[in-house]
Amino acid sequence: MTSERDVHPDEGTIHAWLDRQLDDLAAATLEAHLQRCDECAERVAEARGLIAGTSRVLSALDAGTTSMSDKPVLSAVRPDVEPPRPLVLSGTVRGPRRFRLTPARSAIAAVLVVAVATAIIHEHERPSGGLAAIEKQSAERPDAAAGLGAASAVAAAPAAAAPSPASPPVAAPVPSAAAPLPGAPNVAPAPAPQVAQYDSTASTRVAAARTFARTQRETTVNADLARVAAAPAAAASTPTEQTIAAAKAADSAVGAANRVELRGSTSGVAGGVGRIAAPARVLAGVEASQCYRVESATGAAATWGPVSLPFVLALDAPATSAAARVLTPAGQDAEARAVFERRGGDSLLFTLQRVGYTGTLAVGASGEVRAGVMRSAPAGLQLESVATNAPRATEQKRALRKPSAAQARADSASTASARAAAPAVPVVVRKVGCGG
Amino acid sequence: MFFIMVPPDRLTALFAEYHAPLVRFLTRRLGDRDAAEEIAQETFMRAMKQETITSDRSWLFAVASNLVRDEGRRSQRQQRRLELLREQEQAEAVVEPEPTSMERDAERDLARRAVAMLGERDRDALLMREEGLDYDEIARALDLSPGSVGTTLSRARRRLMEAYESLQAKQDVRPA
Repeated sequence: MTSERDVHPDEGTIHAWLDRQLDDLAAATLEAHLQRCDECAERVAEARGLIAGTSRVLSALDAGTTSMSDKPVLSAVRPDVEPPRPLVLSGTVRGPRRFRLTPARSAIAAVLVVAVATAIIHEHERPSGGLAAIEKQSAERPDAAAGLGAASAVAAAPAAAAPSPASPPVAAPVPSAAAPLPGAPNVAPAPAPQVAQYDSTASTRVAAARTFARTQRETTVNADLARVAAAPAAAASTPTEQTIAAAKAADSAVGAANRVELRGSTSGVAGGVGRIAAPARVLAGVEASQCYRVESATGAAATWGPVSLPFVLALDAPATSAAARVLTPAGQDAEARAVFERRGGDSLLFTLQRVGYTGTLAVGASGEVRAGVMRSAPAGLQLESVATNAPRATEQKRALRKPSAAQARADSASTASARAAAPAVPVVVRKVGCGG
Repeated sequence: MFFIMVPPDRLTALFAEYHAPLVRFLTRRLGDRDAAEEIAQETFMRAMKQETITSDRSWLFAVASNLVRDEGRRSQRQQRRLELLREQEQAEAVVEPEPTSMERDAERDLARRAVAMLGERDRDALLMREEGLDYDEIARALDLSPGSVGTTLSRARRRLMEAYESLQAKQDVRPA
């Protein structure tokens, strides 16, 4: 007597079971039969082989097609289909042929890894390589000392010549002096567009980053201490105490200036304050968004770098610019520039951009008349002769000495310390008109 | 029988879900990607015009299969195209020294020839199953009884493997 459970399933039923298309009852019946029937177990194994072989053959049809319609893994394109029932046969189960690791594929992968790693390392080393290249070229070409030595100096002495990170390329002393290079025929005189290109170099960016970090530290000290200053300037002995004293003197001067203005006077303190006559127009069409007249708060003579008080800072237009020109009270170019940062309460921190000098000018919060503290000192590297305009640099280029990289680094360190030790000069900063 | 309307957003969803498997199915079926793309596009165009679709996936594959059948009327032209492709591939294989590429091309050629040796219904059922259609969907698409799909598939699989191994054996004995 043969029960229903002993009937051998047909091949279609076995395939349906392997495809998980049988209902639960039929699947349970088949599985119970397979427990007892070796012949059907062999047929199941054969059917598994057919299914696997068929999938492999059909997958081969896709070889060489690269459309988005193709998806290499069947399970990935058939999320709604359960995977085939697990194999019960012993032996090694291999992955799809297309994913097998072959010697050729291993070689390709290794080459790709090496190429990517090389590219990353090369990219990582590029900035230092650029600096090294500049220094090496400078060392190999003494004639180019005026230009490339200055470039190294800018990188090494950021306080003297480098713009802040937020500033656009500044047509300041170093590029204009670096332009004419007799004896170096491949180097043409640098017009203004080349200045912008120069400022985008890695060395300038490194220098700008250093300046930014330094000015951040100094701004905190100068701006905060300026308001809590109490000690007299005469008794100050440390730079911080000097700054406090200077800020106090400046505040007093500002108060006096405000009182004068309240009485309707147009004169200021310490030499008089008046509106200057169109300084921006003096600069051959260069527009300024804001102008500030800087003068001594105590009446004592002082200089900011090479520029004597009083002077005018003309902030370049547009207002998004972070560059400023240093002008005489008459609106003439004082052969120095500055970059500035806007701090809280519209306070400003100017950094002198003049080769051979380092300097800062911290200006208090907004107002028509503001208190400020000014510092400046000669930089360790004396490059006045390369500053500001091409004709002068051309005439004086032979007098230049090219500093070594080590010397330039030492000068950079000494520049920061020199500025920190420079006396703090209290100033009054008055907003003045830029136009006629 | 359950019917659904086919609004535009539904059609978009159908396209997003089934375009890729349908193109792959048709490419395997025809051996020509360009033709597969055209027929898939035509299939979805018909779906857009269709007011109601029952069992969307099986409907799409059934329409695509019918379009392939219509396309078969131009089989001689298609065959010539395949011959040209084969010759081109063989020519490229000569100039392409990479062994894995040659092996892959040879396998593809064998697979195409083996699939072409199947009966139309077996071939469609097999390719639809590979694209994830369940037995009910295959039955609807090919107008079969659900109970016969397993038999159809088992027969198709066996014949495909026999054809493939036969072609492979002939290739192996071919003088180098």
